[in-house]
Amino acid sequence: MTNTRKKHKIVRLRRSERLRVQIPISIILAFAIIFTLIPFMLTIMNSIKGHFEITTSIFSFPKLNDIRWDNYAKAFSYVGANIWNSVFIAFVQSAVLVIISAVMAYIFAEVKFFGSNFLFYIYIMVMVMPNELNTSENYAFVNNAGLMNSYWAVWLPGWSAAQASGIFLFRIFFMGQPKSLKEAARIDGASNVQLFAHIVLPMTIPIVVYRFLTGFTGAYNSYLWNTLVLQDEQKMSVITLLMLKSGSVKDNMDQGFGVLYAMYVISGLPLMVVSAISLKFFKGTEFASALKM
Amino acid sequence: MKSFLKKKYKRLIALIVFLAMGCVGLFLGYAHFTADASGAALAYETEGKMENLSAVSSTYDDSGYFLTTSVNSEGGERKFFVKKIGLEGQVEFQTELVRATGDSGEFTYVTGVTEDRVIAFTSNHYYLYALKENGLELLDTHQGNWNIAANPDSGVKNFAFDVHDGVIDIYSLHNSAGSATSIVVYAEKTTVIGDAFVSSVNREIKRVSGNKNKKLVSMGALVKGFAVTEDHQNIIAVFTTGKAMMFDTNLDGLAEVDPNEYEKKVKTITVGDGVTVTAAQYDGNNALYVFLNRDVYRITAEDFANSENEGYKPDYVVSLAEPGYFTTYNAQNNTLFAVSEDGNTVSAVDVENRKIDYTVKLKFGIRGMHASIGADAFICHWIDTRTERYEMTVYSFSELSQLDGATVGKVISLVFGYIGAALTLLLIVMLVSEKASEAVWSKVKWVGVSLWRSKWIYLVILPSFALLIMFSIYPSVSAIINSFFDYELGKPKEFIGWGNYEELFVTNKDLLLQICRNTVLLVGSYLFTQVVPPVFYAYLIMLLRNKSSVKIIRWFMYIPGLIPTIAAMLMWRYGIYGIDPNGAINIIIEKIFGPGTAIGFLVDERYAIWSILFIGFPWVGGFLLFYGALMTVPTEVYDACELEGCGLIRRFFVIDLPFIMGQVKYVSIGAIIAGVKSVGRIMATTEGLRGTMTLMYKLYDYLQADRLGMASTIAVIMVVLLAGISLARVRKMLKKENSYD
Repeated sequence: MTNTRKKHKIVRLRRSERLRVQIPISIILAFAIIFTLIPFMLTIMNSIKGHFEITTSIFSFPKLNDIRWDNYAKAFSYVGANIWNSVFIAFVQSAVLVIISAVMAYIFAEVKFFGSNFLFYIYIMVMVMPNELNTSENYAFVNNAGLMNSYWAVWLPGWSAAQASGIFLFRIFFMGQPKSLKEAARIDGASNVQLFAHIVLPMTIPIVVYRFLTGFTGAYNSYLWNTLVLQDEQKMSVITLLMLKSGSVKDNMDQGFGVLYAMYVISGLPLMVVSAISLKFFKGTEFASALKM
Repeated sequence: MKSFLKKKYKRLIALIVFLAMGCVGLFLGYAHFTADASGAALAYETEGKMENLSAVSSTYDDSGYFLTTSVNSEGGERKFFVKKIGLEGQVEFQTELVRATGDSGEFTYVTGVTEDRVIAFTSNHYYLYALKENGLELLDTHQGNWNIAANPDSGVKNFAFDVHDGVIDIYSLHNSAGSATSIVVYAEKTTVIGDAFVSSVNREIKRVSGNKNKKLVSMGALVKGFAVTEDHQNIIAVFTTGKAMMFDTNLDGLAEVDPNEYEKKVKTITVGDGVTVTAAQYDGNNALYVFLNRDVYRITAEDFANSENEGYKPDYVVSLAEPGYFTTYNAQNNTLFAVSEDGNTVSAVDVENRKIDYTVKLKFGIRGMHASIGADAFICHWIDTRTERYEMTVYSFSELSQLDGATVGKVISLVFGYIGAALTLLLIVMLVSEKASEAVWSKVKWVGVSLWRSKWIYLVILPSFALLIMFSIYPSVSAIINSFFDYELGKPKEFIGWGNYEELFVTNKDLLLQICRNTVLLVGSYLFTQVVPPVFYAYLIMLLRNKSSVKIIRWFMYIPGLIPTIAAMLMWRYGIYGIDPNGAINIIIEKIFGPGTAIGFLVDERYAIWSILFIGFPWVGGFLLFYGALMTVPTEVYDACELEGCGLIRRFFVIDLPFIMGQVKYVSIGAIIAGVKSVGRIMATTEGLRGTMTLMYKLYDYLQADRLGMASTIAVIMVVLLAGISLARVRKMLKKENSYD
């Protein structure tokens, strides 16, 4: 079309933009949002209520003259140390994983060496096998090697299981980067290490951060393996502790549900921090579409 | 190298060397598969609660059986049984111990003192039994202030028997509530008449009076163990303070002495100054082994003679991996067994050669370990802290030494074995023909040179690959193999072919059916809830004209991700589905329909699985992915479509859906896999009860019970189910990757 700019735009709404369509859409979406948020609003509101209040009126807004902030204090005393455990475990796990994935992906993408294809296909094969198959033998290994109740029992199998997909992701990215840039660097005499450190890596920082945050969230939320191998109350991850405590706290009339809900809320603190970081870092929808797979 | 191999005989030598290496390596590496299966685990479940189990002891009698005492609390009444158990786990007999009239105490300790005599004690009676083929026969019982306060759980041996010249000398130590310990010496004359003992209690039970009110001699510190010397004249006692003393059995001359002055009157040596003695064990022959945490020392009567010398140092035997809290001694092969406090580690110490023969881990998570030893077997019992069940296991010594799982040595042997085998094959080819050997050699050279050129790269790859092999490849292969074995922690591996599968498919058929049904339901549910509603919502959001409200919606949708998934499940469980106290839904129901009409969503079998499926309503979930994809649809297509008169709904199916088909497929595959693997949800809500068991949860159950064979079986089934899907997913990923090249 030629570039005609009329002074008064004639607005012709698409069928979808007419009001009689927009209103039902908005209503449906509003309902969806409300129902999605109900559990969370319940949790937050109830976390500052006393036990009796919860059992009688679960939906009501907490009475403003009876806000039990000490629910949070108690909750913190129960799970505070374990939150730090979980954070530490998840942090180390994700950080080392990202390093391993990036380095290995670079080696497979850029460096030509004998057997690189063969080894890479081994990684792919490993991705096919579900990692539940490894659980029983890893458990026996952890038991026999005396690693029970230590963080290594969580880290080592975790690194091994998750590295394949990370390597895959990074490799695709590295291979998608402009070849000419790398060739120019090589002509100038850059070694593999220098190429990696100065050119390839800086271009993939967003993916690295994304991978780290996703890995952190995944490791933080992980439940099954952590419960199996970390049985010591001081060392266990916060999720395991939540499961344990949920059974006992509610029987204690003195503390009751309020503390329980407060525990849920504060156990989400690290995740809130991660979400805040990722929101700042990844503005817009580029990532959603970029990760079309 | 090439010239070396030109000579045929040299090749022959090399062949033999590699062949030997291959055979030896493979054999050593796989050796633990041929475990000695003679050994039985007996799981005894006592009726009643575990904390009532107190008087448990076991001892080995020379005819090859163990005598164990167990307590049953049925209907609140405690009954004591003595069982005779053979090495295969067979129970020869079980006799109930009956107290004499007037005995108000409870049995505290039972032990066999000779081949056919068994003694039992309550706090105020002593019972002598003859050990017969099919039970115990009571020979004699006496009342007296025996004061055998035995607490087998603490591992403290409070008494010793010295049998000589037809006399059973019973020495007991009392750890009273305070920190004082007393020694009481009982002498009992018994006369052997053929098969029966006629016992006559020597009324002169020797007790040495301390002061007028005390009848016992108090030692001033807790005794950890003691022994009687060979000549039956002296007692060696080791105290928790690390000091050892030797007394005359008559306790002569001690009555008048202040306990704090004993050291001057009695021969004393210091084994560990200020280090706590954790256990002590008499070897039945004049030596007492003392455990100072991890270090083991030996004390004999001679040591006391040397105690005056300044240069005396306790005889150091060996250091253990873990502090020993319980010990037992096997006189036949001079082996001292030490068990760690958590009962998990057992070390066999060869005391003559002063070395540790082997260390094995028995079972994780047990307490109250108690063990005794025989000529070639070891029986131990413990309480499993997870199931609160009392378990007894008999191990032969050869078994114990093989409980050591795969060791580094075995892995290295395997590596050498395979290399040896490969080289053997290579050499055979080379020996056969010159031409073939040329081709083989040039190929080998090329491979070798390329490998060598990339040596640094291999070094860098090594950590990642090592991790992969150790935790992803080997376990997978091993799991497939293990599914054909009866493999439990703390027992040797046994090949049982399809046994595990039988157990799953035949004995647990109903459970398996339930699992199947749940898996189908979960996969269907995930497929739906992760695709249909998110696409629907993404579409709706895209249609919204007001773009700022879109931003608000996106902000709100981050909130579910702020709380850990399991916490969200728990919220659903208590806050929404709760019954008594009522969760949100039940509160509404009761408000409308009146009290008592609350529905047990997660408690009632009819509703449990459906309630679980419903979690997550309204399933907004991963709409962001679809939304991003929908955004890329060019708007001209919409206009064109509208001109042709298609409505919104038709437009969706004709234009938008095909555009996002890629994402839909991707999410579907993920949903199917998640459905088969789902466990977190079940764990947080119903713990697998009330009809909600799934595959993964059963695997977890088996792992908790240390039944690795069954766990592997389930894992194999899961792999079979998921094989097709996983392959499809990986193929998709590969195709995508190729599209970038």
